[in-house]
Amino acid sequence: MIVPLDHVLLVSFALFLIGLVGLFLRKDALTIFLCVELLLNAANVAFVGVARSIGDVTGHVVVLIVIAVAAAEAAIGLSIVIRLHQNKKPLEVQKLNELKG
Amino acid sequence: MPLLWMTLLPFLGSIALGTRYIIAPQKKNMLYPVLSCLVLLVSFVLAIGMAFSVLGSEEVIVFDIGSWMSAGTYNFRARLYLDSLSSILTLLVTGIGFLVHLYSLGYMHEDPKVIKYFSYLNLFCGFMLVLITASSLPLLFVGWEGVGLCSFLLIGFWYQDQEKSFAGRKAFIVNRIGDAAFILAMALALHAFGSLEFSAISPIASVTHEHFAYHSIGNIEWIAILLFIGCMGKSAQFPLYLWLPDAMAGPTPVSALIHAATMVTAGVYVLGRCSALYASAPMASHIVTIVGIFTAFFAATVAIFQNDIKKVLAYSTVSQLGFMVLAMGVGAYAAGIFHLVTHAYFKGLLFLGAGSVIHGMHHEQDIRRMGGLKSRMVATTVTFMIGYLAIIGFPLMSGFFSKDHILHHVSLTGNAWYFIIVLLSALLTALYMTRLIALVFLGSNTRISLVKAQKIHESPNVMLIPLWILAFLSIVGGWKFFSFYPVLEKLFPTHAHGHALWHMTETSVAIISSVLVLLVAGFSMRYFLKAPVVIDKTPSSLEIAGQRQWYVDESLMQFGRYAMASLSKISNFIEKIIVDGLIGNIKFVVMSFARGLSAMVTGIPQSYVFFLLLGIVFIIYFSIGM
Repeated sequence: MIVPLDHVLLVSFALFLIGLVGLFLRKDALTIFLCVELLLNAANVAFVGVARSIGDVTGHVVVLIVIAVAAAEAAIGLSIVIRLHQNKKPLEVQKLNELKG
Repeated sequence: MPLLWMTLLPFLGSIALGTRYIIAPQKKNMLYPVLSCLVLLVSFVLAIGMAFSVLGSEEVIVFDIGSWMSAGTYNFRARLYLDSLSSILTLLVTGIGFLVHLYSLGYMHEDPKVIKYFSYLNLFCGFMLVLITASSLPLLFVGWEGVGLCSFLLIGFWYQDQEKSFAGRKAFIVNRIGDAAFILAMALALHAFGSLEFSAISPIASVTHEHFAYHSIGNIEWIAILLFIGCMGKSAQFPLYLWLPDAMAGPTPVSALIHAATMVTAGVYVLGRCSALYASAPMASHIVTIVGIFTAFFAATVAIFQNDIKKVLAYSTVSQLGFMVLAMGVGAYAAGIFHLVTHAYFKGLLFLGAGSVIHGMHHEQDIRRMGGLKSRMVATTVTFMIGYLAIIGFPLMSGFFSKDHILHHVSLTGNAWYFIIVLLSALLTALYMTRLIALVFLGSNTRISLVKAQKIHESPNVMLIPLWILAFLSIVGGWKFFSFYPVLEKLFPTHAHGHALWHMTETSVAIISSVLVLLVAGFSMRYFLKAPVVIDKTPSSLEIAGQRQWYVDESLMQFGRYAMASLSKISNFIEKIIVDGLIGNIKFVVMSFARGLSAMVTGIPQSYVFFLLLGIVFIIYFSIGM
């Protein structure tokens, strides 16, 4: 069974929207981090769907790269979160405003 | 070719002596100064040789050195040029230059730097000859600046004395004012005439204006005025005369050659050289006349109060230069140049005589500490008296003829005030010169201590010979056979205009002026011989004012300081308000811009994401919309 492209894009858009809303509304760093992962994966879904429907392999390649980059990003991001926690810093991002101009 | 050699030889002499001085400054060798005298003698002989063919005839000698500057359509050629006018002056410069060199052999022979001195003196003669034989204004300017340099070097020759080196500096700086005007005049002349050759400057300005209608008269007036300001600096006219009295710090032969006989008359020479220009510039000529008359009178009043023998002669020189300049102003070019020549004779003589006195008195310059020198220095006294008679215009002496020509031409202008002031200046000349000789040579020598009086000695023959020659010239300089006046009269045809004041003929002017001069000289002689001279007397306020040249020097300096201060206040205002204001405002603009940008850095990640999204939306919108 072939899922039509519209559906794939709809799912991708839904994921992206959930991620975006979470990004804006949540306060703690870990959840925001997860929302960013949602955004990335929404993009991945869209890439795969489009690549399949037009029969081009480039989209798949991009998805693989994004997954690799996301893994690296996750490693760095998580380690930052852990260090914050270890230093008894609050995990609410609104309070981490030392770079305010 | 003799023209080139005449000009070049002094330079070669200067280089030779200068090299010798640099190689071995400590070793004194009187052979070199003698060599530099010989160089001048050769130049003099060459000048005489050329004068035979040039003087009084239409013939000119031209030597083309080559192309000097060429820019666009202008091509300046450096040319030496000898006509009657420059021939007279080359005779004067090389002749008196030689006599002064000879005199310096005696006067300077004790000085350890005598070779350097003669090197400078030769250099001066070289530049003076360039100035006189130049065929165009730029080449004349080379000589003009060169003699200025030599004047500076020689005034400050004893530079270990700070006052003397300051005097040299003052001469240089005051001359800069005039030289700036001179350069402006050259620029304007180049614009108006398209060439700076004297032959091009003169006829165009004087010939009918219809061919050159596009040259406005005003332009010619401005060229003439600016050129005259240049001459004011060099020829020590009021108010740029300030440097000349201070220039007396130099060795006395230098004062005789540079600051009396030759260099200071360069301005008068330029006025004569550009006489055609001035003939067609009535405004400028009027200014020349007024400045000349005022200088002649003013300097004469100052000279009465001076107590330094050289200062008296210096103000006298300024006054006599005023006579020459006013003669140029009233259109009596021949009379002005003639007075230049006779003045060179008698003022050179007076300065050399003063040098002889200073030499004999062991560097005493205060005339109140002299007296009765007639018994100890016979030759100096006799020659000085001859110079004295010449300068006051004693009948049939050289100064009598030239001053009479000038007075006559002033009376031709029909302006009674001019005539009276000029006549008064001539009478004042008699007054201060009589005071000088009464105090120095005549009268008693009770003011000199006996020990000192024993040491007074007559100068050696090498110094006396130039005195006798100049004395001879001072007597006969105006006589028909020796006079240059007929040549000059041919050179500058006078345009007789108007009636003489009170219908005076030249003879009656001469009789009136010489009777008055003799009366003034006689009465002042009686007065100064009897008047007791007390050295330590506190001078009256009038005397102080006179000694300080009626405070002109000080007030001009004060004015200069004030002008400088106001200028810096204005500059300060511009700096503070405009420059600082501009820079301050630029800072403010950048700061407010930066403040706006930094407001976007909230420290809240969500806002960053928001801006990021906004940016993406914009990019997508525009890339689709375009």
